[in-house]
Amino acid sequence: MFSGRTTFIFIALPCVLLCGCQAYLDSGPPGPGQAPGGGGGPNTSCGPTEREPIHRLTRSQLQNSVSDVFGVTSLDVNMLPQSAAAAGFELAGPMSRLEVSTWLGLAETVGAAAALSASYAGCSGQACLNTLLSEHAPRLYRRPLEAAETQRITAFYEAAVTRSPATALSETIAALLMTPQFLFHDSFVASDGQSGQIRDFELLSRLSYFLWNGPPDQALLSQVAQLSTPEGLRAVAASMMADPRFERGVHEFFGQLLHLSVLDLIDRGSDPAFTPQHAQDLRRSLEAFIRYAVIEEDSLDLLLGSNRVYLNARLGSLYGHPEVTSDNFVPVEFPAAERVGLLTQPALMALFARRDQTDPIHRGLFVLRQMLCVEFGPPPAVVGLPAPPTPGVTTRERFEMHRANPACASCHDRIDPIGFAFENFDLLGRYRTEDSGRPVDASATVLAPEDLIGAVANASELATRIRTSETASTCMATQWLRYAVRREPLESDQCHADTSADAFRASSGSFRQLLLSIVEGELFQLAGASS
Amino acid sequence: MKRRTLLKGALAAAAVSPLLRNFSVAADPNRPKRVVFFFTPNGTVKSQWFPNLAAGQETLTEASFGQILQPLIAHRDKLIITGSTLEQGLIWNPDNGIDRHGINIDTDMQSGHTTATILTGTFPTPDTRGGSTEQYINGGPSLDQVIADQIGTTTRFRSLELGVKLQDNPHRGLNRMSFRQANQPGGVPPEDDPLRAFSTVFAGVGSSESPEQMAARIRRRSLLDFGRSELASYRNQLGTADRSRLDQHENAIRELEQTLTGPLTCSPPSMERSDYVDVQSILPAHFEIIARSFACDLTRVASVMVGGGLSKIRYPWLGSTSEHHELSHMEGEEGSRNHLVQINRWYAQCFADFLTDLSNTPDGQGTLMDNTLVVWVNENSNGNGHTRQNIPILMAGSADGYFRTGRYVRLPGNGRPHNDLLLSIAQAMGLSATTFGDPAHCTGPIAELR
Repeated sequence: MFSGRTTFIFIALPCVLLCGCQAYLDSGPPGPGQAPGGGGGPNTSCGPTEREPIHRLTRSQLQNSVSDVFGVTSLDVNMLPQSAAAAGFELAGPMSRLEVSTWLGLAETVGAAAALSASYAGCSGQACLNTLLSEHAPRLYRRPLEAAETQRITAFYEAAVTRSPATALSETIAALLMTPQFLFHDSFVASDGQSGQIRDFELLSRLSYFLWNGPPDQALLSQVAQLSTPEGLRAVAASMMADPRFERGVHEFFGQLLHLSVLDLIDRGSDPAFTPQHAQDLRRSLEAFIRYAVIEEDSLDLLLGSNRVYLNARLGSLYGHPEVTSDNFVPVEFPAAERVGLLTQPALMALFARRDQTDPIHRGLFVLRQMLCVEFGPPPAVVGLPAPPTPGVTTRERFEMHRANPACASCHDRIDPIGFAFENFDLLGRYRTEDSGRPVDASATVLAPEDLIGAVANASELATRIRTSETASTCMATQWLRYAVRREPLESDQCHADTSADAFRASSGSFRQLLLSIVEGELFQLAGASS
Repeated sequence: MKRRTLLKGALAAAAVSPLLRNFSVAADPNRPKRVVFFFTPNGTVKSQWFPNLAAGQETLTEASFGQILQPLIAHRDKLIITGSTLEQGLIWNPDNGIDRHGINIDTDMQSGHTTATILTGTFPTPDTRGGSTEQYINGGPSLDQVIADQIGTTTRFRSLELGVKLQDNPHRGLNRMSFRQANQPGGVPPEDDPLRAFSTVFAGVGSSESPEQMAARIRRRSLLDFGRSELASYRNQLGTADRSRLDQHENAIRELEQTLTGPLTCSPPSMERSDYVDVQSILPAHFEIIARSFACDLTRVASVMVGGGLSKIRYPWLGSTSEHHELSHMEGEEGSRNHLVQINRWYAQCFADFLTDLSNTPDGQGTLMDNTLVVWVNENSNGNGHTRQNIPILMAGSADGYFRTGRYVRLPGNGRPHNDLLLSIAQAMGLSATTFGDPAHCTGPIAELR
């Protein structure tokens, strides 16, 4: 009965009217005395920092927690409203009344399903409670229970038994799902009440939701003592990244970074070749590419530079490869002059487009913001949009009006050229040499960031230069750090991000080394301020 | 009292089953004030929205109504349409400029959509720590929540937030208009399924409760109790910032528990179940739920949000296959402009039906309409330009004689800041506030409304 929520990404962009463009790079100058990562503990020389207060498990984390612990996969977390965000990544806070009410209903459903699972088959009475207390409750709380907690759960169970013996177990499971111990994490409980190193179980939970987007399992919980030394932390993190659940964590990051949830819902209705099935396939195609570059090959260079696209039969006929006949996704190599890396994946080109035309502005903004960490101030004032698609007039020509007006040009001179470089990809991400009956002009003069300034002939050239640019590797490190830390960026964050970016580059773009650098760093291990 | 069916207006296309039939309510001598906020997105077609009256004329005549508001002609004596109230002040101050991180602190969100400002009257909290332009942090609570703080403490539901086809725009500042306090990015999320809203609001309303219902209620209370008691011991270990976060969570639990009290004596409406998946049926259903919840005094503060800022809802039964936001940027094209007029006219039709419902529902010696104030806001005035000057505001109801209705109120000079309007509404609802929202942009209540 729940009406689906649709997700939108496009905002019509009027121009800046009065003030010059305030584009700036996220990477500021490195902090003084900045030490390389790793070695003997967290780098504390980046200046004062802080963490956001305690936050709640996100919707996907709730879903994965319930499925990992109980094997219950029927939970529809989309009934919960969307969470807030910090620095572009999902950040859930305390629940509103509506959310508590919704979650209460969901918890009851999960409790009922979990009580029927194999773990509880054949148990009765106290035996069921013991299974819950010894196996599942510690995994929900992500640490051993305190004696008082065990007593309270037992008291609840016994009261439930007197009310309704048949449902006492499922009610008790539901009750655990309502607790702050389950719902919230990253609480900063240091032994002396002051901010400092986070407690080991909290660090383990943070590690697990960062790398797996899900809770620690029994094996991981039993390794908590290792986290007290840097070598132990590295070893635990490395083994987590060798676990199949790491892929889930990677897809969660890229899904948020690239706004992939929108992909399932895009409407390219002006082209009958494109169905909702194609949209879902595109997402899977992109995920296959990410799996290849990040999980299998562990290479930023391949993520940004590989010429392959993963196609199945349906996508194969759409993107000019009818020889692909399997329902599974197989890698297909495209000409280097056409496709280079993540930016030219058809999924992203189709994502940043409109119903009946490409969207150079949002392609440009995507590359600048998400991949190069260049920020822009929001345009405040008033001007209309370019003319609608017109035969004989290319998309680029229609959008050039931004640059004709000097008040608009200051920002759009940085944004639009990058978008125009991708004009060889139509609204479905298919390669084209003509647009509205005229030849595509994909040449561009890039004005920012600094290490990309210059002219490029097309997206392939641009992506090739981005592939080896320091800005791109720094930005990828910065985005992962933001995803790990989940709060609005502080000035001092860039110092930490630069440290991890150096480790990233020193390891030839290894994502595993980048993430190790992040989890070893001060921000990841920091407990919050107590005031 | 026989209920009239929904949407008898000219635009009632498909037959929509009424949610409720044969509702009866005993006369209630208590006549509390009530308020409803109705939000529609993407601006409007101003030439067809604002009344066509000569300068100096303010009485709303039948002839003065443009195409969009024509459905409200029958209610014109209850209306105040504001003209230049939003010309200046809060929404855009040319002196504010842009801070060094490129965040224009005048903005309510990118591109001038005012979803998170229209009821809060505050700038975003300046982010002095460096610039994510994606994350919007509201600068204060919204008017509906402030009013609920005052008048919502005795009703089962402190307030009721409903939505139509709510969106998940990654630019989250577009998705919420209600906030309990400053710096609450998630806001107060509305319920967008009428059936769920109905079963929540009217749960246990009736003279008796079945054993199953009572058992379910007791079970839910016990689950909430457990969550709350765990919270109490958990929070003692935390720092202050974390505690106040958890306190918000605890408040939510407590409010929910408050709704799980036993049955009320209000006579229950009987419900006709139907499928609410299309906009055409959802919006009228929400208005009905609000009217019935007022009649039963289950709440006194309500809001309905259509979509959210930059909404892309489609209205195919009105003859257009395009989505709303795209249409709003094609106002220059005649066909698109007509579709925009039809969409906004449909909003007006639903609004008019709601007013009719309130006017036909007895309340004390009068009707619900007598002491209910319904405020229709938009996020922009001209949707194509995202302009925020002269945002169309329509108020219905005098709030028990507080406002002088039946007029198109154009304010002299350069008009008044939006916060003055919000303050006027707050005072009409009985609050003793002397300012609302950002005080630098509030000069006082608007005397011309009275």
